[in-house]
Amino acid sequence: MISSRPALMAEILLRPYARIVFARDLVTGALLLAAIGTAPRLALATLVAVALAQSVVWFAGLGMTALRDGTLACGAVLSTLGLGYALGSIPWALLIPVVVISVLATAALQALFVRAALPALAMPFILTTWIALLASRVLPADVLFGTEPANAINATWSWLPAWTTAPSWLDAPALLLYRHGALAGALLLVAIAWYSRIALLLSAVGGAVTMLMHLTLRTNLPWSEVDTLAAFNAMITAMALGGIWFVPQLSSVALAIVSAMVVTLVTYAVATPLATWSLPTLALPFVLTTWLMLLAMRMRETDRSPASAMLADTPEEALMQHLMRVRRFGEFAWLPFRLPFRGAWTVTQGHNGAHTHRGPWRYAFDFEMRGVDGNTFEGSGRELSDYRCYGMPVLAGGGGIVEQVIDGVPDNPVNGVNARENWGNVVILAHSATLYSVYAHLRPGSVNVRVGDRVMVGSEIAKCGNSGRSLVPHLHFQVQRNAVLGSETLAVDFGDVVRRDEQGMRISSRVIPNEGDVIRPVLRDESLIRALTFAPGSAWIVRDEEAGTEEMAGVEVDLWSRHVLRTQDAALYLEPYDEGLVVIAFEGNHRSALRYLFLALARLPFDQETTFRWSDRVPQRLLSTWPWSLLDLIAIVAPGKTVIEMAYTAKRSERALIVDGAAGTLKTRATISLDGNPHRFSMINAAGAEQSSVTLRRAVPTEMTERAA
Amino acid sequence: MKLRYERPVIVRHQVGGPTKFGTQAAVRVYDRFEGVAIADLVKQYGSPLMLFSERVLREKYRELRDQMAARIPRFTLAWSYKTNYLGAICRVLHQEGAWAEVVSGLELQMALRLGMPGSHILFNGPAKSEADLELAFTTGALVHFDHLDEIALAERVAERLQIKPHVGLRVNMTELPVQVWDRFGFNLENGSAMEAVRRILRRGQFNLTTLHTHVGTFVQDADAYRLAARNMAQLSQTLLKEHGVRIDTIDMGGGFASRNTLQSQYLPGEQASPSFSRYVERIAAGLDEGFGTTEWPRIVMENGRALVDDSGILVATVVGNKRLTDGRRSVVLDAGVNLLPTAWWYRHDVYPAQDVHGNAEPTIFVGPLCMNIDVVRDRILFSPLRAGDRVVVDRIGAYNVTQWMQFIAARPNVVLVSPTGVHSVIRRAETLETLVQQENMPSWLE
Repeated sequence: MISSRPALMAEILLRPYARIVFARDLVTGALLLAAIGTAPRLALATLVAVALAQSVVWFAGLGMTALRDGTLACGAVLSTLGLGYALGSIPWALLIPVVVISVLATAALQALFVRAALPALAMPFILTTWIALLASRVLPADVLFGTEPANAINATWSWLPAWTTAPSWLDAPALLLYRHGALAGALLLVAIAWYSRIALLLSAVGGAVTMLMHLTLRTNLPWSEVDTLAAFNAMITAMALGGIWFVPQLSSVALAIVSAMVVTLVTYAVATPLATWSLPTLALPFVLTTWLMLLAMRMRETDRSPASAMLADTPEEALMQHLMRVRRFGEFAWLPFRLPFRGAWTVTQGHNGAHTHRGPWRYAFDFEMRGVDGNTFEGSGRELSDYRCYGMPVLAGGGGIVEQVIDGVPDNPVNGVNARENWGNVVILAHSATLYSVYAHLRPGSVNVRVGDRVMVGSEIAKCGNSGRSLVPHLHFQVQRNAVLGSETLAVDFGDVVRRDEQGMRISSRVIPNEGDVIRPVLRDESLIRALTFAPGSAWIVRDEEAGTEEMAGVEVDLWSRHVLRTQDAALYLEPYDEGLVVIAFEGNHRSALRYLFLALARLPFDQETTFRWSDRVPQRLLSTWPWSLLDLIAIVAPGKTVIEMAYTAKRSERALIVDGAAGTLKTRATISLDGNPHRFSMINAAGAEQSSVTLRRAVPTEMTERAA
Repeated sequence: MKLRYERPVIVRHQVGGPTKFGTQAAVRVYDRFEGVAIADLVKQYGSPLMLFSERVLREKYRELRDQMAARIPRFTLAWSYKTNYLGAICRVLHQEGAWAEVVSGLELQMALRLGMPGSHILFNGPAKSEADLELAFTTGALVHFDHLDEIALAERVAERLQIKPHVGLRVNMTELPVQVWDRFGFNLENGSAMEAVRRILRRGQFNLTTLHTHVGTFVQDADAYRLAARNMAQLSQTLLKEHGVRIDTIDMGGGFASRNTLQSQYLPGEQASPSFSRYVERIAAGLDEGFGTTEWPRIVMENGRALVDDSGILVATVVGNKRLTDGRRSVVLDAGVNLLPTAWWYRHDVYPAQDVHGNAEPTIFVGPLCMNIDVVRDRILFSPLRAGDRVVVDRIGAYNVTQWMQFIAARPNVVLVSPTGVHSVIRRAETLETLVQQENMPSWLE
């Protein structure tokens, strides 16, 4: 974290620049400032604008977070650049109101667009610039331009050689900063490259698409301002859609190409009418196209190819997070659903079921409980209470808000049907604006949540019943895109599903269960929870057994509430997760002993089973001597090559749980000590011996006994 | 799962009513245990012989675990050592994830010896010595307090060790539909439980984290668990409200009935004893009543009998037959209540271990002790047996290998049979040597 005052100042001043290309990184910000700085007066004006904007942020009470985040002040930089570009002058009289409007408009529009789950993008800046330009028409020339020669603000350093400012293809990237000139364009590309190689690649793809559009649609016409505008919009749109809002993949590159085509056409379309009002096009095509694409992509049946990206600092990190987190946790939602019950249930009707799960309802599940005798009931099966699942708790499959509750429909007697109130008693939970889960046929009077309640994943919402169109007690579960009961269903998978297969108990981190499967959620084991709880603030000692060195590691919580086990020079990111230990990322010194913790145990479900198996993936990076930035580029085309699929087997004894991992010739062993001794993480060599062992123990033993102060 | 092959049995169908000896029942011949011929096992290990099935033990454990899993968000099962503390039996259950519940310093040492971490041992019992408490505190075992003198002693120990251990409080209740079980712990209704809490808090030497109760033993009215669980839930909320004490574990004890039949019982245990599902459903209902929408703490169960009873059998050999004056046939076995103290409680099922012929008639099985009380089964319809024939006494897994007596005869081999039919001695037969090595002859008698 930033601690010193100069560092904080640098953050406040430079981050707004970095935000122009979606970055947070300060070096990127500095490079962008340098690109603007080919015109020194302009750069000075933007710095004044940033200082002014950040003061507005501070004095308007928008908060320290917003101050350091930089997005509010980013619009001020762009508006200043936009004025310089369209007006050729930045009069003080305009700069101050423009900065104020820009900050307030950004804050206001961000809040407004959050409701539609859309980013405000450059829209506040475009509106602000337009307002300033339209207003400037009623202002006298001496206020606007003073005594200076026209376009003095954009004058470059006199000592720069002529080619650096001459028009060239680099004008397209330079236009991202509303500048011209080869040097500005080149510096901008360097800034993007520094920020992310993937972003650079995508912006090149965007520019190339516009070029091709020009060659095919505007054959024989000279490359003009509208083409440069289209190219810059295409570059930034391709970057945004291909790498920021969607995980960089081959499919996201395809999306970037399509978006670049769309944005080029939109630029052609809006440039002329806007010009008749004397308004510059600026980044409007980018904003419109990005919104269009985001909204349209949201209507897909599954969030796949390309998948929505998580909030990440760079496209590279988004990709790694996707490979290491989203793909491991679930495909259809950010997180997969938890099984909506406790204990072992049988899927009596799955996706595309034989009875009622067809057509629009094909992605629904019916669950019942079976005994060892295979029957769903004990006794005669004539009473509802004979049924094993009747009255069993029904749990929220995900965290969310209660959207709708229907209660009071009586239970049918066994083999009775209530076709009038088809769904019986129902709870609908809203997990996001476009994700709802439905629990039906509940027992009357058992619903213990009310509309508007916030529920946590796994909390009890009702009991299983036999209301509605239900012959025997069962739970009907489905996921929909909207809140209307009986809407079309969405395919979902469940996380942490425990099933028996030929080789014993297997835990799948995400799976779509089939009809007939007997499945249960992870059965939390107190011993493992105690052994592997990395409580924030706790201290651990990591010992490299080969080198004989020890270092301290502390546990912190980061912005995404991941737990971070941090040593001097490396960090291990852990998913905040009750049902097990999941390592999601390693960063820092490649040689740190911490990486063996990840290599030997990427995940451990805290289950009570004696022996169980699961598989998970670790990043190839950890074993590789290649530069990581190169591996990240490979990841776009061949994500499979950058991860290692490990198969794990755990076996329990009184003192420890031993987890053996294997992937081809790579063999690992993690010994999770249950008696307070150090945990041990090792590679297994060809001879079967443990090597590169790392042990991990608490700095302060927290047994049942505590030393009195 | 692949079903185990069962040999078909053909039983002659007898038409008509009872004969002059009573009704004819189809007789199950119990000649194989987990697929291994009992005759072979006896040949190898001798008679009498105690056999345990690893498969049944694991299956019973998993049945209870799965029932708990279906209704209780967080729970731990602890194995009640006193029910059967043979190391191999404990190990099977520890492998399944069971913690250890011990009731004496000796049992505590047994659990530690098997490798249980102290933090996974719950220490109950009414008579903990200073040394026991010290061992418990230093190893991290969770002590459940039974009486005020114990609390005072434990405070001195903890003070001396300069530690502040987590502890539990055993609570009993009088208003339950079972025989009052108020010998252990502090009574809820008369206020002594709250008094003990105040006593613990006043000194501040402990972190009170667990409330423990134990409804009784062989409890056949499952609803007693609902009431007990509700009371515990309410007590834990009272502690939070009045004293700011946050209880993280409620230990509901054990006491589930096994499928054996009590001597005083009319219906056979298989019909009369509630299922695990029923018990757990009642506990969950009680917690529901007591906690409402408040989050439940972790629930601990300390079952013994209901888990292990079904997994063990006793194989005995017929020594001789005689006719008693009341007309019953008396069969003398080489195993009696010295090995089977539960025979005083249960009407154990007895089966022939080889084909039997002839009409069944009322039979009494008596043991080898020269004592009138040595009766294995008082009255059962049984076909005639000859000397050397074998019988199987079923469901003897609980309490017998801990309560058996070294009385008149030596104790036999105990053998564990694995799910694949591999078998091994888990406790060697005693010999004269075993007995006399503990003795000492005073010098003046030499």
